[in-house]
Amino acid sequence: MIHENLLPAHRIARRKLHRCINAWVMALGILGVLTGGLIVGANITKARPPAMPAGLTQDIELGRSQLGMLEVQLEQLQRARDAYERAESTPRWDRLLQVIARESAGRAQLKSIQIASGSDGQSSWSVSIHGSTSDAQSPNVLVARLEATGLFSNVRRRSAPGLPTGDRTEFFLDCSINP
Amino acid sequence: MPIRTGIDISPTTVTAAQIKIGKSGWSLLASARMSRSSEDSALEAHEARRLESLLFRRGFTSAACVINAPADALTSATMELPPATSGAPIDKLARAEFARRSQLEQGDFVLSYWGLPNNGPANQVMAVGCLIEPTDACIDSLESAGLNVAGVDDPARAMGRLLSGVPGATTVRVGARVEASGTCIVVLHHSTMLYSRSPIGLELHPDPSEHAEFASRLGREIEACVSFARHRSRSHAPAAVSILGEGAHSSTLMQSLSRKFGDSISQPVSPSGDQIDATLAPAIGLALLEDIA
Repeated sequence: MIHENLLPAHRIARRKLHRCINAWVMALGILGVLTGGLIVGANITKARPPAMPAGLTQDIELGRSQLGMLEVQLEQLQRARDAYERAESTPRWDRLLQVIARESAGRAQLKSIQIASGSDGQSSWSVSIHGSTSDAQSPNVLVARLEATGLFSNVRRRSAPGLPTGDRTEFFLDCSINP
Repeated sequence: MPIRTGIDISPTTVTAAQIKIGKSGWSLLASARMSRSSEDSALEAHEARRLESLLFRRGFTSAACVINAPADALTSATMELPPATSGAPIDKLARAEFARRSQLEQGDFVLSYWGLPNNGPANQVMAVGCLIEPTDACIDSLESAGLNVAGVDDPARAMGRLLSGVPGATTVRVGARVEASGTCIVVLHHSTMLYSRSPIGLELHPDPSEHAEFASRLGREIEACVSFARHRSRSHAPAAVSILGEGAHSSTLMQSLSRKFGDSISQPVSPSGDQIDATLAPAIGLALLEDIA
């Protein structure tokens, strides 16, 4: 035989309400913890890539080192190519000086040779030669010889400064080089 | 497994028992008893605080408490209602009839009733009404001290629940709770409470020399109850008599009653077969209330 509770009805209703509120609070708490856990878990998963097998990791490391070596080689090749391109577009000054020295040998004493790039960048070069000779005709002979080499164009003697200094005559020559 | 605390508040003492209810019955976890400083039905605030502190010190865990309804809040009556098969609104009729008999407003009390054994077509019930206002005052004082009151019951019904577990296949069981503040006699037919009564002037005297005379008077009351129960249940089987409360600790009283009733004296035991301290029986009976809010 089950005896009925003699607790007043308003207290029973209040206890039921409290139980209901407690159940909801607990359910919301559990839901909050689960949601928080999922968010934290998702963030951790996003921040850290999944661990790879040891063999695959070694392969990737090896690949990376080989890639590094290839990058170094590529850099060296690029530097070599740049140097080659620069050399290709630049006259051989040593050969040029040898030609000028050979053609002026015994006739003129060269004091300075100035080289400047042309107004159109590196496609042409202008050369100014300053020297002195023992006679007045030798600079003209040098002009003709330089033109005859075919390396120089527009070889001309500048007239103004060609004044004798003692027993020697100074001269100035301008020409251009098209490599 | 639920844990419940029964708190029995009498004018002189407060007794508490905590039990664990399992499939194989209940077992006692903790118990406490304290004397009161006031005789009001509701505990004073300081008494409630003392009780809460005592329970904590005695190892009571936080659990739903069942208290006894204050004596001045309880009214009982025997009523006749239409049979359940009649289709009549029996609950409403019972409430209206109880209010009429007790001269109460219908919203002033909580009603509980149960059918009595009878051989005729009438549906005779015993009803217990508990007034809300004094009960609320009693609960408020306990809840303000931090206790969780989830049930209120008639102490006679609580005794009846405990007596249902008394060993023996007797049809009629009589339990007498004997205290210095008075005596309450409960009569059961199987596990159904037939009635309870508190004979006037039957208080246990502090002087043991008075207990023999007290036992004689109590014996006559119990005999009258047994006769009524036998008449009611039309059974002539021997009845079991249990003495609960402080009276069970009086050797003079128990010897006198044993001489009078012989083997019919049967003290309650726990489901495990251990003898129960008779002073804890009312509190354990309260804790056994099944209908907890």
